[in-house]
Amino acid sequence: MLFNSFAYMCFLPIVFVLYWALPHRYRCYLLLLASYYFYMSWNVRYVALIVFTTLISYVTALLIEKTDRERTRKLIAASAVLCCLLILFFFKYFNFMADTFSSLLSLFSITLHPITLNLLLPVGISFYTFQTLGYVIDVYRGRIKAERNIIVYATFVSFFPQLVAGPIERSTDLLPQIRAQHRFNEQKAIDGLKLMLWGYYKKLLIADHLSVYVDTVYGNLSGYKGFDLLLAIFFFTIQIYCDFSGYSDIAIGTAGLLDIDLMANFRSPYFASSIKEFWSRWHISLSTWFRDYLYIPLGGNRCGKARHYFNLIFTFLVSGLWHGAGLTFILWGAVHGLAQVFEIMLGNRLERIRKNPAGVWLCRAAVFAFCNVTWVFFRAQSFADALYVFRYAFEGIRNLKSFLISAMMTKDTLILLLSYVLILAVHDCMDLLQEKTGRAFTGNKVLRWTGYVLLGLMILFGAQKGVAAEFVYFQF
Amino acid sequence: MKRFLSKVAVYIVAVVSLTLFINGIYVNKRVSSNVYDYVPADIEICNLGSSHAEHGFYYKDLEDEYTCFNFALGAQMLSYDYRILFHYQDHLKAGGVVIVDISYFAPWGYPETKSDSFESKNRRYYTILPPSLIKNFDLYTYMLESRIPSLNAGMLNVLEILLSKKQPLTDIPKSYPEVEDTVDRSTLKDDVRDSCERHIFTSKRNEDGELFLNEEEVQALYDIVEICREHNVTPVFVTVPYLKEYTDEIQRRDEDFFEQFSSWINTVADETGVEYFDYSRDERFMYDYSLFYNGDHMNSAGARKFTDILFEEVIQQRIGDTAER
Repeated sequence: MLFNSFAYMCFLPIVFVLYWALPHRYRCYLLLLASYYFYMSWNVRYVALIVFTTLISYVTALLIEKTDRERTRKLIAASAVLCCLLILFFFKYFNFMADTFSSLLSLFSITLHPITLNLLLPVGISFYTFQTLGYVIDVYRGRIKAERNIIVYATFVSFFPQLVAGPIERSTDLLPQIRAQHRFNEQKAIDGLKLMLWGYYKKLLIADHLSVYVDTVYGNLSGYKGFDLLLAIFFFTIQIYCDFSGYSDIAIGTAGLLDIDLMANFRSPYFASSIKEFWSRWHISLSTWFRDYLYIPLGGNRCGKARHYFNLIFTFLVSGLWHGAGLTFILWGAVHGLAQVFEIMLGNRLERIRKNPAGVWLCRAAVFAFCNVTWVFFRAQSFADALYVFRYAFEGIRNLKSFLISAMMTKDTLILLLSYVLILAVHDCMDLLQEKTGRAFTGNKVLRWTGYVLLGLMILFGAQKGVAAEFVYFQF
Repeated sequence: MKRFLSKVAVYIVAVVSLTLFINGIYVNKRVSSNVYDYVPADIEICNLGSSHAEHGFYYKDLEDEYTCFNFALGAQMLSYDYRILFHYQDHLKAGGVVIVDISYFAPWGYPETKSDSFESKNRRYYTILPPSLIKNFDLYTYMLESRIPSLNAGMLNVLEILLSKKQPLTDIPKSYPEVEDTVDRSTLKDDVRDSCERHIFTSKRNEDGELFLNEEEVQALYDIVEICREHNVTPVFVTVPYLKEYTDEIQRRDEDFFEQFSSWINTVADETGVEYFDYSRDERFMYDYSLFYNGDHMNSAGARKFTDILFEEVIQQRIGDTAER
């Protein structure tokens, strides 16, 4: 069940009404039932995987807490982590590893026909696996007590708003909220609805329209050169942001309706003035997960320079691999890791540039351009495809007038799409200003209501109907 | 909670009202290009069928003398031919002729509702037929396609129509398409292979690879004949011309196909008393690439020639059988 489907438009109000109509002690059961139903609407069989992951982590956390011997605790925690990762590996990386191994052997003239599995990747497996891993590690570290109520814990793992594409919640934040007695909070519910509306704008009006163009170009790269490739690069940069942050907004908004706070996942990432800052604004729940459970345990920056650089690059390589089983994803992660190492090497010089406003905007432009380039690795089917894009994206640019004509898109459509993107840029810019100054741009009541109604109308008239397009991050 | 719900209700009412208001202006100002909005009264010659018939009949030469209409649509099955005829039966003029195109794929296979492409294909009938005649009817699609079409028109289109003055209808759209293209012989072989696969293999055979009849489609043919008889209209069954490459490919892949097909259609023709005319391997067409745009679809030149021939050889003798012209 997609957030942008008619089914969800029926499902959510039913859950909302029942949730607030039921006494507190039954709400958790309702959420669990709703979450499993939500997940089963994709594939009934894969709910067994969530149940299995839930049971393994639930039992091991209890065992960790019961055991006093550090070595045994460590062993139990490691077994649980390994078990969860093996499931993830089996479904997501087995074919990739088998193919890679066979390709490596072929370099030595050894032919191997690898066994590959014809399995459908369970939706959201990377997200709930990482959330579960975080819980086990937190219990092991003593940051949280093991949850004894299996219903509460199962709801934590499968909470439907963030089950299939995050934000990846921390047990320390979400578990207490699931346990807590909630009273209806009007302001939070209204804020939730506003966020959902904005999420739908990003997904339905921007991401879905841009994806048509991007998919066509990347689906037949050799048929396009010059401006069309350049547009596809730019459009994908916007598409992936709107698609994923749109999903996060809807998820956070939905949870808000149930008086549950989920962590912010995006904060105007394309206004970052360094790669480091970009990663503190992009997919925050994953970045901080890697920071807390991989980068810092590796030693973080409290070690020698070489080790620090290694930690950074290694973390981003794993992040790349998390996104997809493919060399292009690993390369994408590696480039981001290397860029951060480069920024550290620049040290004060970069800070000096960022001190004046013009310098900040220059850095922002550079970071945005860098993101555009690296997303090509992310989107391309192969390394060769990525190289093709770079090679031909500027072909014919010397004759700018004829270069700026898209073979695929009319001028009117292009203007319409760019105006959608402009609204997004203004919104993000205002968010950024609010973040810096601490002042919210609320406007007067009539203006706000007009804005919300207009946004609703734009979504209704502009969104593609009949086909609910999947979210890009579902494949991860 | 009450305050929250009232705010949500006010918002929904505001958005819905404005949507309906905008839709009202849109519907009022737009000029429909849907040929089914212009189905004439007293039709004397019309045809049903799939894309073979859609591209097989071109009524330009007959329009001065007769009221004609091409009801065929791409991938349309007999069961929808029947539903369309049922809905527009009052547009038929007694003494007229209804040409029922019998494509090779028509009677075989699983119900079309089981095919993956069904839903997208089915959407078009929401603007042509009433809810009771639409297969797998759903209210959401009905609202989008039929009641609030502006939501489905695209932002640019809606803006363009809202901001423009109402254009008067200059030309009523033709029910038959204009296609000037001719066959691309370099891709013809692949095209006919794909078409044959789709027409007589995919979803048309059981697990043993044998063709089996689709009862719903077969019954629809009998029902079509019944409607025609009720309105004193002469039905004729026709298979339109194809290029030799197309029929040869079918023969190559299934030697018994034509025998099975002929046996079935002749049985129906005998039982209903309707004449069947098979032009599929007519030598005036089957070798002439200039009359087709692919292996099994004629272009406008081919359709015009075929319609003229069919008129002379079949329609002329049958039109006006039961009513004065």
